[in-house]
Amino acid sequence: MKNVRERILATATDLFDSRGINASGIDLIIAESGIAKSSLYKYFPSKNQLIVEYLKEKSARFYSWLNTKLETQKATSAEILFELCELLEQWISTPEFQGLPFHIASVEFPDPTHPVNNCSVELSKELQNYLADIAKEAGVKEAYTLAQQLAIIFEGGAMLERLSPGSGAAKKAKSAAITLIKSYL
Amino acid sequence: MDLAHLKKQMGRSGRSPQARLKSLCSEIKKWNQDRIDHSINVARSDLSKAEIDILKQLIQEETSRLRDKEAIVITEQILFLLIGAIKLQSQNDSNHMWEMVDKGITTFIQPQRTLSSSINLISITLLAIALVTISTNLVLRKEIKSNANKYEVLADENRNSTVSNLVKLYNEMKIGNCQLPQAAMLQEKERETFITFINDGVVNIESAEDLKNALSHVNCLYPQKLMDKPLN
Repeated sequence: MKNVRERILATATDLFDSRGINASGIDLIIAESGIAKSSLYKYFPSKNQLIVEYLKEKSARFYSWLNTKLETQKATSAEILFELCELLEQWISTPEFQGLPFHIASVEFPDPTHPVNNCSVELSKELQNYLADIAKEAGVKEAYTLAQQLAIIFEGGAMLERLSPGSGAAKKAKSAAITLIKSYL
Repeated sequence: MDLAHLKKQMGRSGRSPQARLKSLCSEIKKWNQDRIDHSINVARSDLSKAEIDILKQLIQEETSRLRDKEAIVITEQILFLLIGAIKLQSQNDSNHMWEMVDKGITTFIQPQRTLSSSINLISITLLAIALVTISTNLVLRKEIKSNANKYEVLADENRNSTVSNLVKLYNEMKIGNCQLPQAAMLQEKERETFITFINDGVVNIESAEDLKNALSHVNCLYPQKLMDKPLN
């Protein structure tokens, strides 16, 4: 059985994903999770904090899925980069994919001084660092440059895939990413 | 996003599609920065379908001039870069990713096919150089060897020409093509050598010169065909 914090977070995640972050008010989250308002504020002193936790949780789940898949494949050197592209394609091609979570948050909170926007920026950098670590592991000298290019490509691919689901944008973004990777090897 | 303005700016950057595409990047970076600066609490990182279509059209116009059969693929690749960079610029309020876009465009415009062609060309050139070097060496060695053989033959011929001509003359005499010279006409040493040669067919290397002299004295008695190669 989920504890109160987990229950609040799970309910908020469902609502944020389905209705959007700004459209899901605190009262709705309290009502849907069946907890007292005081309990919510005990764990999440503000809605912004709840949103930040939601983004971090989503991000952590994404990396956990990615790491598990990469470890299962036992890919080595350059193969790991190609495998990563396969996984990113899979991820942004899934019907429930609604865009990169930190991207969605930054769309809803464009003010660069807003804590949610700041969290989005951090998570975006985290993705680039994650990609750079894999590129380094694969022996790429300009690992960070490649990582930034991969992040840009998949951002673009994710957006086009979201605008036109099933258009093959994810697959094409993967091919573009592979072309870039090959230019670094 | 103003299509006419973007086209105008791209047109100013030169004729090459590469230069124009990089100019497009620069213009989109400015356009997006302006959008970021003037948006207050408004969703600013999303692009409309119309804006994406304008971008695609501008890229396509340039990639079609590349005369590359992969022009459509390159268009999409560059489109991903531009859209991704617009989004990251909006999210992070930073312009540094545009440098990555520039690099990416360079990579996409020089597709793998061209890179592999260049590698093939280099390989073929190296192979050709290697073959030319090897064959030149072989020819040189052969020439040196053949020259060496020639000199050996010449040396042998110089050394043995007297003997071989004498042998030839002897054979001619035996079959009657050549008249016997009168030994009495010759000096004693030459006569002895000559008689030995006529009777036994033996040429003593040490007295070969004497025999040669003997034969040269009496060569007028030989038939014409033996005179074609007079003894030296």
